[in-house]
This record gives sequence, C-alpha cells and structure tokens, in this order.
Amino acid sequence: MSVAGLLAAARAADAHAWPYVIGGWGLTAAVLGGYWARLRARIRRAERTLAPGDDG
Amino acid sequence: MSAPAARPRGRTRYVVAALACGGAVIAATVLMFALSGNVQYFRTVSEAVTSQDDGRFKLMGAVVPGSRRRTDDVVTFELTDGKKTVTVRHSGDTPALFEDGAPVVCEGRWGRDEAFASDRIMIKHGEEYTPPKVDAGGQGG
Amino acid sequence: MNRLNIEEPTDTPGQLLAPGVRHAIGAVALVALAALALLGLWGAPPDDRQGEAMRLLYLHVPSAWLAYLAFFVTAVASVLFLWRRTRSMVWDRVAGASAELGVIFTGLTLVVGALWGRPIWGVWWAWDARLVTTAVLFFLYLGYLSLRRIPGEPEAAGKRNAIAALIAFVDVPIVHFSVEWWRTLHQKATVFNPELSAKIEGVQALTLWIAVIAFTLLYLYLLDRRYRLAVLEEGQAERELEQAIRERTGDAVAGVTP
Repeated sequence: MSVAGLLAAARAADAHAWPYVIGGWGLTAAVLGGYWARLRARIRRAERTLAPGDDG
Repeated sequence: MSAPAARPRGRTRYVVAALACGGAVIAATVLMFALSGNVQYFRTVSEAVTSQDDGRFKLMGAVVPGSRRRTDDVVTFELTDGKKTVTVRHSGDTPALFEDGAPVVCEGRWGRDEAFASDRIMIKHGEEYTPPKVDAGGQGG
Repeated sequence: MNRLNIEEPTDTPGQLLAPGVRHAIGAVALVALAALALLGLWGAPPDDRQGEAMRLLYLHVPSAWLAYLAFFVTAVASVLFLWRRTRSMVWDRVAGASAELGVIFTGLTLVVGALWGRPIWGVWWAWDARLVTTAVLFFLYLGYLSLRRIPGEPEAAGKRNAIAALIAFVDVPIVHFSVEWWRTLHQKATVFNPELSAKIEGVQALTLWIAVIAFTLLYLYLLDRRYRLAVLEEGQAERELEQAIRERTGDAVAGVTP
C-alpha cells in the first residue's frame, strides 16, 4: 500500500469516527437524562407518601 | 456537643479502621506505581537506544515523513525523537491517524537486526485543536 | 424521638435552592445544553488532525471538570461537617449528593474517553497514569458511597463519611497533574494547563465554554434535587422507625395484658 493510500485511509477516519461521536453523545444524554428522570420520579413518590401524614 | 454522641460505637470504630487501611493500601499502590518507574508510559527513542533492554517496552517518537514502506502485513518506518532515529518493523493493524509526522507509541522489543519489532501502535495526539486548514498548500508537509 | 443534638430546627430547608432559583438554573441549563448539542455536533468545525472525533471533547472535558468540582464540593461539605461550629446534617447530605454526581461524571469521563480513544489512539484503554488514577478515583468514591449506606448513629456516621471523603479527595490533584508528572498516552490539559493558555480557539473554544457552563448548571440543578431526595428519604426512614416502635410497644402492651 502506498503512502497516498495510507493518507486516504486516514481521511476515511473522519467518516469512521462518527459512530463513536454519536455513541458518546447518545450515552451521555441517556445517562444524565435517565438520572434526572429517576431522581424526579423518586422525589415525587416520596413526596406523595410523606404528604398526607406530614404532621402526625 | 455531648460526649456520648461523639464517641463512636464499636462497629463504627471498625469501619473507620478498615477505611484507614483501605486508604493506606490505595495510597501505597499509587506510590509504588509512581516510584517503580512503570508509571512512565513510554521511553523516548534516545533512551531506548542508550539502554538497549531485552524486555518488552513502549517506544515513543514521531514517524519520519516518507519513511513508511508496507509489505504484506508488515509496515517498516523510521521513528525519531529529534536526536536519535530507529527503524521500526510493525506487524499488525495501524490506527487511522498513523500518518507522516504523527507522534506514536509502539509496543514491542528490540529485534536481532537493530530494528524495533512492534506489534501495537498507538497515536499520542497533542492537546491543541485547530479547524481544518483552508489552504491546500500547507498540507503536503 | 428527636434525632440527636445535630438535628436542624423544624424550618430546615428541604432543598438547597429556592424554587425560583432552581427553575431558572434548570431553564438556562436546558438552553445551554441545546446550544451545546447544536454547536458540538454541527456548528463547530472538526479538528484538522482528529476530524469529527474531536466532537467528543465537548463532553469529555466538561464531564471531567464536573467530577473535579463535585468531589471538591464533597470535600468542602465534609470539612464543614467535621468542624463543630458548622456541623449540620445539611453538609452531610450535600457531601453525599455531590459525590453521587461526581461518580456519574467520572464514569462518563471514562466511557466517553474510551469512545474517543478508540478512533484516535487506536485503543479503548491504556494503562497510563492519567487513566489509572481516574479509574482509582471512580472506585474510591464508589467505596465512599457504599460506606455511606452502612447505618450508624448520625453524628458518628457523618464523621466517618467526612473523613473518607477527605481521604478520597487526595486523588483529585493526582489525576489532574498526572499528565504533567508522568509520561502518559493521554494528552496534557488543553485549558487548565500550567501556562493557563487555552490551546483551542474560535467556535471550538466557544463550544467548549458553553459545554462547561451547561454541565455546571446541570450539576447545580441535580445537586439540589439529590439533596431534596435525601431529605425526603430521611423523613421516610424516621417515620418508618417511629411506626415500628409504636407497633412494637403496642404489641408488648397487648402481650402483657392477658
């Protein structure tokens, strides 16, 4: 394989990097969004069970 | 603060002791890692040429532009740190950014013919970022 | 049954931020995150050398920054708990909430870093000083979080947790300076380097700053929410305990009478 061929392969790395980029962004969004949603659900549940008997 | 409340009970004391031990173990591990020399991820070309070790190690340098020759599944190229230059014979895959001038870390050992026999190449990229250059003239290198 | 002498007055805040402030922070964080997605995935140009893979920088760097910040907050809250004049369960909860967020951001830093390493370095992982000390950081605080779950008398448990948090924090500067102290495959700091000169410019730098601001605001919002949950769960546990005691004493009385 020639040097030109190797350079062409390097340029192809651009296209080849997108799946990693999308994977990283998707994962980050899922983890942070999931954490937030779960936190919100747990707070709502706790507030519901706590509210009625709050003062005895 | 009332004294009885501040005094840890038996089990808490054990936990504190276990924790201190855990911390000490981690600190010791990190320290040993630091002092053993293994913590340095690679050697420069000059260091490797001077020491001529038998074992397996990682060698860092820049790919000399135009030196890469590919035959079947072996790539031969020159690796330099600006002072010394060695020939590397690499068998195996090469990363996408394995280009002329690229700073690389090769893992392997010295071969019989003064060349470094590598079977793993990693790219050590820098910390600076620039948008693509618009003028094609600057790219030939 | 009143819990100890460190129990707050009855008007103790159930949340860290006033609702208005929290909603404002949440809204600005959402706008900043939207701007980040737009710029990071499309508006900012790719890197000359790395190409599109550089877009992972906009998540990896702010995640690492937030891990540092979160563990710093945990350390400060732990000191405030250990110091008698400021001792309050508020600081214990802040420490725990911030550490949990720190672990999440450290995990994201490691995983996004691996996804970035594969196309650029050619490997998912390298046993270099930066990566190893970061993994140690992750497990140290994971240990801290599990330590927090071991029940105990609140003040003693709080002290124990605070000491653990301060021991774990030792690793934070080691992680940051690992790339200066030792040779690593990982590159040196782009922004917070010893020369304090950012090696990134233009739209790329702007995107990185928006990312850091967006993640910091998101952290503040989530910290408040996690703190709120901790307060609610403590109240719940206390009520369950009281309930159990009431049942137990009721049973005892019922058992004695016949």
